[in-house]
Amino acid sequence: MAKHPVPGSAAVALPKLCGADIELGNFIVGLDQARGTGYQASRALLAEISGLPLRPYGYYDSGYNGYGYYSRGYTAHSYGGTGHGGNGRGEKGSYGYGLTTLSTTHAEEDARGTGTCGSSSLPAYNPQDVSRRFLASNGGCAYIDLDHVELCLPEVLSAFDHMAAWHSMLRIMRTALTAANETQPAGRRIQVLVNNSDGRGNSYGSHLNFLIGRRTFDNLFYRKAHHLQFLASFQVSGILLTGQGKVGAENGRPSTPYQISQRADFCATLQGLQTTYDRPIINSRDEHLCGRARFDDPAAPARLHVIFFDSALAHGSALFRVGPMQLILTLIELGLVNSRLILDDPLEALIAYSHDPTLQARAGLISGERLTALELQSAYLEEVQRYAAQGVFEGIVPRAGEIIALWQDTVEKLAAGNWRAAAPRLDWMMKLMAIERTLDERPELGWDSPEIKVIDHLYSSLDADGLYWAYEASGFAEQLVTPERIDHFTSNPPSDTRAWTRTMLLRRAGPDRVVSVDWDVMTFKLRGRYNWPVHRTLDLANPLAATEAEMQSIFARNENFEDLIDALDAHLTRGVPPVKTRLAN
Amino acid sequence: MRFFQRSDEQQLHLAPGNGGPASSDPLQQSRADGERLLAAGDEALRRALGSGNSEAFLRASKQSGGE
Repeated sequence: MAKHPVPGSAAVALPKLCGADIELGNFIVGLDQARGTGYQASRALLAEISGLPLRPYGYYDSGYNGYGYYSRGYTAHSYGGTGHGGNGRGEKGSYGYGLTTLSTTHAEEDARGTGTCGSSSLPAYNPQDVSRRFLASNGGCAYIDLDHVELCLPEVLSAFDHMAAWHSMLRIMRTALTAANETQPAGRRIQVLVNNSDGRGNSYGSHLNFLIGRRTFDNLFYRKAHHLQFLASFQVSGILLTGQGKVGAENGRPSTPYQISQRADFCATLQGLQTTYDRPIINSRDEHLCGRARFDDPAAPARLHVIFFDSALAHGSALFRVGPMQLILTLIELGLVNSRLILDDPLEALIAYSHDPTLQARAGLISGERLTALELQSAYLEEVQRYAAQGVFEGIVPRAGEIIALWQDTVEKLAAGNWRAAAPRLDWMMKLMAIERTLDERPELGWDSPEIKVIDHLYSSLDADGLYWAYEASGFAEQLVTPERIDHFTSNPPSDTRAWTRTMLLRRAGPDRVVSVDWDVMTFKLRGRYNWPVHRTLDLANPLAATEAEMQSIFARNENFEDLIDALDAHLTRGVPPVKTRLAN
Repeated sequence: MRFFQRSDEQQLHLAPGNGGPASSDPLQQSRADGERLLAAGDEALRRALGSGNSEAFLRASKQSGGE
């Protein structure tokens, strides 16, 4: 695992690799059901996304005379996946929430109306991980979580690549949406919203994942309360740059015509394990997704699962979800925590900040000072700039200088009151402009008119009726990565993480050989002696390793798949030295 | 008063001649550019409002809870 010492400090920081698991709103217009139509919509959509494995691990495999369970060995299941909510130390599952993919068969057959699966020996149905499939196009994956299609991005190092990969996944999803709508009966249309709330008290998440050290994780949740508070205060003020905007309030919060964040109304605790109720600002789910757990090793990798932020479409908002978090997490990892920036009551501040789009609301720090969200973000920015000047982020956060420059430019525009200059970069402002134009054009409408809530929703529609796409097409929405870079990630994995090897293996193996896939492990079915089927498992524990530069020659040298697995296994298990990341700053 | 209107008036208040640092010419130019690009989205707004029954759309958009 690559680690970068900081000059003059004993602390080390891991490159801030990041991923995401993002739920979408999905429903069918023209099909009335009291409980909603998410079940049908999500399954129809996912049926149009190709991925592997085709069947759940453990599925009875007639092609190999029923030896699907043979030689299961070291697999995601043998890690003892605990599913969602599992957090007890020593009982953690692998990356994929236990990969309880019996439901794959149920779901796919439901979608196709065949429904013949059923073996009592298979794992129980898990509504939070249905039909998980990894994409041979870019190494990401898709599945259904509680009747929402969920898109997972391949691991990347750069915040810019993260944003490009996110938009590429949206392109993939839009293709699936078009195909799914072609299967709908007349009068019905599937709608996908890239948001986080239905405006009726139901929220769904847009989660980010960051690589941090085990010691950093322990400091946040078990040892150093001020680290947690420092992060929470940053995130709360960060809605200024990351919020998607929302008409009205929910979940028992005070009414407001418009607010900055979609998720703020649903945060109820400072930190916690839960993700579906009383959501915390900082989620303590402890699934490292990096091979076998090493809880006693402070240098071992851990994952911070961030459930706080809204989904973003605007490039600026999408970048600000990730880039500044990489910088702040680096400071926390290195112990460079300024306790003077800690909010006295982050939950109270969150509602105050979110419910005031004029940006005048103030919240108290533990020092007694009262700051606006903009002032607090500026203070965090100054901290980052101070350490950037010392080279702290080099080798840890790619393109840190560009992230900081964009952050500063945006904060300055907002501080100058120049909203029209900031709006093309930020979702909540772009949406607000759209709504205010509607209110100007249709003076009979008010903030509580259904038409205005429709505008709120349609801002994030994935289909051609999405307002964001109209602003992108017109040139109003600022573009921070090129369309070519987005297009690249629709059919290519990131080259600088293990996602590259995962993708190449999916391509080389093909559907017949892939038994199970998880972020840090893959199992293949090969022919062994006398053609008996054997399962071989490849460990991809280090997310910073198995990059294109490291593995390309092995792939090139081994055309035979069995030979390739032998060679990769030998390389990955022989204790290769940590991979040096090559980051341009 | 609209949120953006408030921001606009604050900007004008800050413009030269009113004791502020901003220059009104670039400001007005920037506003005109933005207006032109925003107007391109107006057709999408009209389509959204004219595409059907808003209340029915909102009923259909009900989601189950997620994470």
